[in-house]
Amino acid sequence: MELQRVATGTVAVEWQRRERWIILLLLGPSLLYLLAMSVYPTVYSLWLSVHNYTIYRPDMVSFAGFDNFAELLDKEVFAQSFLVTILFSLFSVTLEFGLGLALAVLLDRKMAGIGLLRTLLIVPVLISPVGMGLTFRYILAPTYGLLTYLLQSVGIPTADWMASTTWALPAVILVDVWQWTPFVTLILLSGMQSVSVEVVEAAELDGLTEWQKLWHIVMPLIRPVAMVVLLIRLIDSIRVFDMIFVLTRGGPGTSTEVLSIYSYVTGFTEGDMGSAAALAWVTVAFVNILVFFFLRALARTEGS
Amino acid sequence: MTAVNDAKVALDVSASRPASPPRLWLRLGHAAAAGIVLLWLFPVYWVVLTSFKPIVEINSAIPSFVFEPTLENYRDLFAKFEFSGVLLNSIVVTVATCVVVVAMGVMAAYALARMKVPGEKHIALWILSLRFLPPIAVAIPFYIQWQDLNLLDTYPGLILVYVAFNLPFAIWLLRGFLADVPVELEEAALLDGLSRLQILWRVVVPVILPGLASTSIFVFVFTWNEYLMALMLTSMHAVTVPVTISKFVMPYTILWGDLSAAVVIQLVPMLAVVFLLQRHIVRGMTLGAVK
Amino acid sequence: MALVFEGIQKVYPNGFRAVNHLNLEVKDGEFFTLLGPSGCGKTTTLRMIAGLETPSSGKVFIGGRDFTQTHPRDRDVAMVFQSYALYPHMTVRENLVLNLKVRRVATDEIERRLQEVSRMLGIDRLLDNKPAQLSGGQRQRVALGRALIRRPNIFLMDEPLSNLDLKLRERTRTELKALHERLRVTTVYVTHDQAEALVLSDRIGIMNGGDLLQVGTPQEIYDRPSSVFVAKFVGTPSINLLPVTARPAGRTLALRLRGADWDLAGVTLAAEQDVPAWLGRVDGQAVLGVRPEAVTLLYEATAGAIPAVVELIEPMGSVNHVVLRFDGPGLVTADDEPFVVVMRSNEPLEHGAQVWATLLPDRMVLFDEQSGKALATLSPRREWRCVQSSID
Repeated sequence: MELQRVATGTVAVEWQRRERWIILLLLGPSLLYLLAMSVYPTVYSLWLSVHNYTIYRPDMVSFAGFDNFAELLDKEVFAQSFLVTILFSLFSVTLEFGLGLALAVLLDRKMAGIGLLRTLLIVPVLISPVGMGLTFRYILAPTYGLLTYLLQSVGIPTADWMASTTWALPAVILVDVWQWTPFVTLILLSGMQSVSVEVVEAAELDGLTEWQKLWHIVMPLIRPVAMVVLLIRLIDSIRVFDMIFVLTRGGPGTSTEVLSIYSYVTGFTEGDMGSAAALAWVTVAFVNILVFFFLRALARTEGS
Repeated sequence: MTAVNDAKVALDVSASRPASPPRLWLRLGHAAAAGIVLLWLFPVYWVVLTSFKPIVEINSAIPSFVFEPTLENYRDLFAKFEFSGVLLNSIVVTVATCVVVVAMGVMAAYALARMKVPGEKHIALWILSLRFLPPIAVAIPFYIQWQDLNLLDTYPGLILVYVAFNLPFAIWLLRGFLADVPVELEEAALLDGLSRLQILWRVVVPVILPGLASTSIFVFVFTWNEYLMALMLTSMHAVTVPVTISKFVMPYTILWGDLSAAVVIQLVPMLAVVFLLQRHIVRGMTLGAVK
Repeated sequence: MALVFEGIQKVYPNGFRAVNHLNLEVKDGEFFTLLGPSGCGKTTTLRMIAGLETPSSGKVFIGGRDFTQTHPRDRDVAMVFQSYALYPHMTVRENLVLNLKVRRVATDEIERRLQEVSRMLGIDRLLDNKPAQLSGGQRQRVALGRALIRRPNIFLMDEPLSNLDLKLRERTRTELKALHERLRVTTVYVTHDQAEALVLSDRIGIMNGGDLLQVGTPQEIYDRPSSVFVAKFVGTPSINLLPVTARPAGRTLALRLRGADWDLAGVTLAAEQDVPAWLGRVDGQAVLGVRPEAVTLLYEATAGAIPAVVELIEPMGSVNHVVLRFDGPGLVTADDEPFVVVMRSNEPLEHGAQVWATLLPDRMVLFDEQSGKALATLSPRREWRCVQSSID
């Protein structure tokens, strides 16, 4: 029961007031903890971004104003990193969504063992990106990798994917798509299953083909879920770090250096924590802007 | 009876209705579905297979599917790399995080669900936004601060951070589960004489046990697999499995054997979790958007 | 234990008035029903007795003590919820005894009461089951048992029969009545089903839109409704309403059907006073309420009977509900509802037949056309008795 807001002109009853305290006690610790653990790093990180701070000489700290941010705009590496991130995000999300939808449609059926198949699909999501990244590195390896062997045996030329500036990014996209397509599939699938059976049956009686049913009935009904999963993947792909780091470390060169990795390298290799923080904030801003536009576009199409 | 049959015949024969897909297509579809899923998991089989291969086979130019299985990779892992210690670290940190997050989360979510909090929407949005934060943004401050507080490479150092990362999502999830508990249940308990805390403990928590399970799964998976923070905040004593795995990639060589074995070991608890609790997982994944 | 509501109001922050100035007294051991349509405030009132809602103003007295500020658990009030609200993770036994355990009742006492209640309700074989394994009727008994085992001072029930199907509902209704006869605990019952209210209650309080319209025994409410709303709400089929003009004629009241050439002969009867005070106020315009069972149908034209045509016959088993359409333009019921007559089903009647309807002077009521309030009711001595409040 909602501990009711009291009606106009009256005071909360004694025991209700006491319960309010209890509730505060339940919520308090979590709230305070989260506040501390999020506000503090946020503030500190902001502070860092407007200072010159290097881990090699932590005593030499100086105020830098917006220099860190301005420098970023100049650096070609930044533009490169930004581009890489966008490319990565674009391709992996599109592929994941397309394949995911196709797979979901394929799996939206009654057959023996369908439950097992759906359960198996969860596995790629659960493997740590690190573990998976490295497994793929093994498979893609030039001399002893399985893929190399398979391609060579049918006569397709291969290369050292991980060491090639042209192929590293696609390789990394491949791994991401492998890992996350099932995620998209599972969620779309659960959306499809919540479409009421009667609606589908009504469509069948009306004479719609399988295609028509999919296009006109199912897709519109799973739109909310699809948008949610699209947003989640979009944001996660911009934040990506683990898998790429472990596969290529951002290399070769900077061909797979997404924003997160660029920030890491700036901070821990070059030692320039200030710029690293500034970079991180640029990424955050980017994500937020993206979300904002995404939601706005969503709201617009909802209205129509 | 015949009237029913007549109706059925009438429907079946209706001219405007296209024929349903012939059995062949259906069978093909089934086969395709099964095939694709099983094929998709190929890399998983491969890494499991690899972990049981002798090093000679692993590094050979011709990958083999048939070989003499061996446990040498696993033995090597534990003997040379103190993997049991690393495994213990992961277990301790993950379990501790799970327990703390679920305990704190359930209390906070209950308060949020049952009390009109001013600015509730704002709090909810803020909590959600934390999920979208790039870890690198907070990794740096934590590193520097933990260094000052001597929390680097310790259990508490890692756990504190993981709890902070998981709590928002847990509260979000649990709030959804709590919303499904009918208020009348708690009112009945109130009339029965239970205090608010007793209601939470004896009535609400048992009823949302599946929800607690779901949430724990998410926290467990996230924490078990987490890399970046562990990389930054640990070095020798509190180092976890994912970080150790990445260390097998050395400057001039990659210890594929040990690596595969470690990946498999890391995978095992995840598989156990999946198969035991599959029902609960999807709901959380959609952030409750699909019921 | 007696219950008193004094000046109770419930206003929600958004301005919605759920309950308006309620003054109510429930006698000790009485079965009191709050009857009304959805949203009339009856459940809110019930919850205020329990303490689950706090009144915006006014006081709640139980057994003479002011309990308005008291925590629900200290009021010694037990409640059966509409959805039963059984703890799904506990067995029936645990559900039943939780409240006793919480109050630290001795174990042997708990056991004794458990046996007593479970046997009384016929659930003694179900003690180790969980609610999910029980049928609707069984769950309802467990909910009942949970409330009874506490031996509370006041027993509250929020539409407990609404989730049961018809036959089970009727059977349980009878059992509830027997239970109350046996235990005589003060009971406040909420329902929108007037049949339930009539069967079960010692007294009924009719509510609509947050107001308590009338309180009385079932028979009082049926015979002497205080307003059109009450008259229509209680009794199936609904009371028939005819527009009439009333004139004083000697020591009688002459009623004439409006829109027709017919006087209601046989309905002009002695009035208690010479000229009822309200006559002037309403300028003789009133609405006559006639119960469907107080109309006789004849097959030949008779003086004082209204000609009509049988429009619809609804067979109900032992009786038929007959819908009439009156001849002559302008003769319609006051509320545009069909005019229904209840007839024994072994009397032959055909659709479309011409009949003559005689209105019997049995529990007729005169209502104010504007306000809907009752002006006068027909006493058993065939006298119009003016309703007190209408005498201004």
